[in-house]
Amino acid sequence: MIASADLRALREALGAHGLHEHETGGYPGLASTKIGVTLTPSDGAALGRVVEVLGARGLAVVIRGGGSKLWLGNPPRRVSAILSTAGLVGVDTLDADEGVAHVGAGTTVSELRSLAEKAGWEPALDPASPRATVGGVLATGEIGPRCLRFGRPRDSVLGLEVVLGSGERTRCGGRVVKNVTGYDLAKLYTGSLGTLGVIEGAWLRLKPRAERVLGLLAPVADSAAALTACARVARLSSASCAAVVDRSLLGVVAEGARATAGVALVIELAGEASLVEREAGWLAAELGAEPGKQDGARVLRAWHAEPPAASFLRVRLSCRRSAFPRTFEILRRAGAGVVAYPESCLLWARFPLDPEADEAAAARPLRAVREALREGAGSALMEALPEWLAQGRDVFGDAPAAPLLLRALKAKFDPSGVLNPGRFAAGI
Amino acid sequence: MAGAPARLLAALEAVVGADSCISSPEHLLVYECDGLTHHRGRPAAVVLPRDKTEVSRVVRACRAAGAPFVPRGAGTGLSGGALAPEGSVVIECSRLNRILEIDPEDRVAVVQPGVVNADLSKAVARFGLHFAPDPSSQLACTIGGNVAENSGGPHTLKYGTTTQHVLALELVLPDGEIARLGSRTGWDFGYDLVGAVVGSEGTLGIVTEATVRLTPLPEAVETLLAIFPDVVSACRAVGEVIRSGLVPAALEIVDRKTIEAIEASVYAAGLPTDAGAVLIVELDGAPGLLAEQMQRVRELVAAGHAMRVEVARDAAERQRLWRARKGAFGALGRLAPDLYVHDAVVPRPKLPEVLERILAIGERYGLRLSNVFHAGDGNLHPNISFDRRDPDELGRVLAAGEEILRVCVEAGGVISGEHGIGTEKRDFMGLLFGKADLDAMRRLRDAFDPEHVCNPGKIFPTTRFCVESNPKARGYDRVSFDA
Repeated sequence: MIASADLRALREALGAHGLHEHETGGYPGLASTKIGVTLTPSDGAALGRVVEVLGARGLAVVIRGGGSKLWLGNPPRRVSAILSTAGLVGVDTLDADEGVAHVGAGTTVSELRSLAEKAGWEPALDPASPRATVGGVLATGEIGPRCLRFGRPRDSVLGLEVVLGSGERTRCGGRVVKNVTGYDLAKLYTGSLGTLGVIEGAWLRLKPRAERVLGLLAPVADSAAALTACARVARLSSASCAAVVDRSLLGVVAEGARATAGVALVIELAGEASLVEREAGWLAAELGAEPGKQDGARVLRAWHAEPPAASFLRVRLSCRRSAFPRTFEILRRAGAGVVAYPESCLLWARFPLDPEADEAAAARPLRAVREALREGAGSALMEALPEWLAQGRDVFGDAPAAPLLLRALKAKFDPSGVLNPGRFAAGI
Repeated sequence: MAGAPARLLAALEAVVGADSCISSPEHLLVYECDGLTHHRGRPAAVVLPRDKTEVSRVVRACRAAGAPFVPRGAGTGLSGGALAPEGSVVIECSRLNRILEIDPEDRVAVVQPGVVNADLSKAVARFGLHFAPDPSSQLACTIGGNVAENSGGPHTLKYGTTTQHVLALELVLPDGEIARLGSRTGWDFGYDLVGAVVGSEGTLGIVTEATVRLTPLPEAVETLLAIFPDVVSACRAVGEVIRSGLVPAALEIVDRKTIEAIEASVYAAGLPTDAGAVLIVELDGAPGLLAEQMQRVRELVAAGHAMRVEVARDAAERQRLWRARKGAFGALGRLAPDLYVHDAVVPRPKLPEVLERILAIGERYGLRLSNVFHAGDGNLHPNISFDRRDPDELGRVLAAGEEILRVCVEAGGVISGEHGIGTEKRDFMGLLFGKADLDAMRRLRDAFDPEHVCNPGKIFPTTRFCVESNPKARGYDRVSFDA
């Protein structure tokens, strides 16, 4: 619980409307924590003030954008309140000539998308949830099915305004598409799960809006054939998504079609209509790709958005390209449903678990993940897991690279441990 | 200038051997500057380690002696990033020049920092791959330098700068420890330390190994040369091409003065000397698609008042064009003893207006100013030919340079797009960033290098507040220039 003197100080920093006391609720994965206060600064200045007060009073917050990925990462070590970016909204610049936009962190990606599309552009961000905010997607580095066209969120970021743990308001980068003026701090903040600073606003590079978007589905014999096929898809000018899904998902994507195929490719083309038509024709001839009955990318997004439950474990893995078929098979043999983007070196494995089970039941999936990591020379993150499995476990793995550097960064950027303490690896 | 203290020298020689340790004043002359010739400083010694262990031991020896150290690649940098402060030790990476692994299946190469940029692309071409960042100095510059500066080049318009092509790094930290950052897959689900180190100008450690992404060579390439009456109309045409939604591999502008210099040099490619400017447009991709896209580009540049359009008929013609474009700096170098290659970025729609102002600045200061630049990225390179021995001219060059930067910042731009800040622009950082912004950068620096001994005197302003807030840096920020 938060002391009344603290509440007074926070209210003073935010104004009466910025602090909201409500029924206490648990934090995902940390049901014992009761949070009864939400702080909603109405602008960057208020954000700076409130973070400063939090630090001075030894309080800690969880940062909330749309709330669609609060479960990602480790449960925070301590939480006094929720810090919401819901007051930092709006697209204050959308330069249709240049293809760049400046947005408040609390703006949803879908709102930015609808505005940008009217101007002939689109944001290169592809969150699973329609609630997801620009700040949230950047802080979590969220990747979606369109990663072939969009790349990583960090590639979209031209500049950021960030409030550090000290409460200082800072800027990095700029609004131009090429920039080496000083350290590239935006890279450091993007994907740092809000543990180094609170993103207040962002300059984003937009992509030209696709005139036509077309989803296709192609059956492939096995994971090795899928890798080859994905590489061919990736060379097309209009390819925006090339995902490999296993049989467990095939039914969802294709409504029972091609049930004989071992795996399938969920393909999306986006671009000029004539180009998309021509490349779809080529894919039909070369890979037997057909328009899917459902929007494949949307089905995948829904799959990625599934919040943690007692009944499954979902792990995100990276894997070198050539090890993709082996890695895919290792995970599948261990009972996982797999969605993979081999051209982006990413796989997701979803292992069903018996809700009544204990640690021993997770042994097989965890063994498979370790084996997959050895094979793929990559990293893993347990994205969604039952609370019993999360107990005493670091979802980033046991041994992050360069832990001293990671700790030193946290100590420099958030010296009082105000921001999402413990949510990142190694208690950071 | 004082030489290296005997004890430091002995310690360095004990690590790399006497034959790999340079300390005589006449040999050190070579290391006085990089491509930014009017900033100079002579190190106490230069060492040429052979492996990461030697780099680490050299760093520890420097720390023990209280000497700062400066990593150096080929010395082609244009912002004084490899400039050595007095009493420092230059760690030259030219002997760390092996390509350790090429994996065409994973599309990955593991290289030491001294590998020359173009050599890597040459080595992987047989697999249909290349290393996409292609700075004009690519025949000499090294991957380590590319990583330090986050180098670009003409084709970054489509393929991105170095940061998009580095997957993992091995780094000797400023305390001598060796760290491995990132992973071969390019993913590390946490702090993006690789992203933070790329472009940090050698101030966070010394890269001893880089795992880089290799990009498939395009199946087909078409290159077009559009000839314009003046540079401003060429800029307007660039805007039209970008707005059309086409993503060319490169969009480069060369102005009349640069064309004249190129055509009078060994890089001559038959560029039209009657043109006010030429625009090079390169498209790449699937063979069947390019003809149609090329036609659209033709229409767009014609509507933008191109006088005429020429298309490279074959690979040889295309290579001649690129040799001319990338040789521009060499060609301009013939015009005067010194060439100041500026580097700034403005929002693309502002290009015509900013260029007009830059040309006026050059005229007002009576300078020989030419422009050759990455128009698609809004990345300007106003070049000033001068003689640094003429103090009056040097003064005008520096004053004009500052005005150019101010104009670019006023237009919403930044003061470096690919050359870095180094010593050249450190005192202009305040044009863009306030105290808290610079302080955030310093926090990153402090996490890696709390004593500021690794390539000191770069990036951060030397103005009062900076030194005050970081007294440790004071001793190292006195870089000597002979200007």
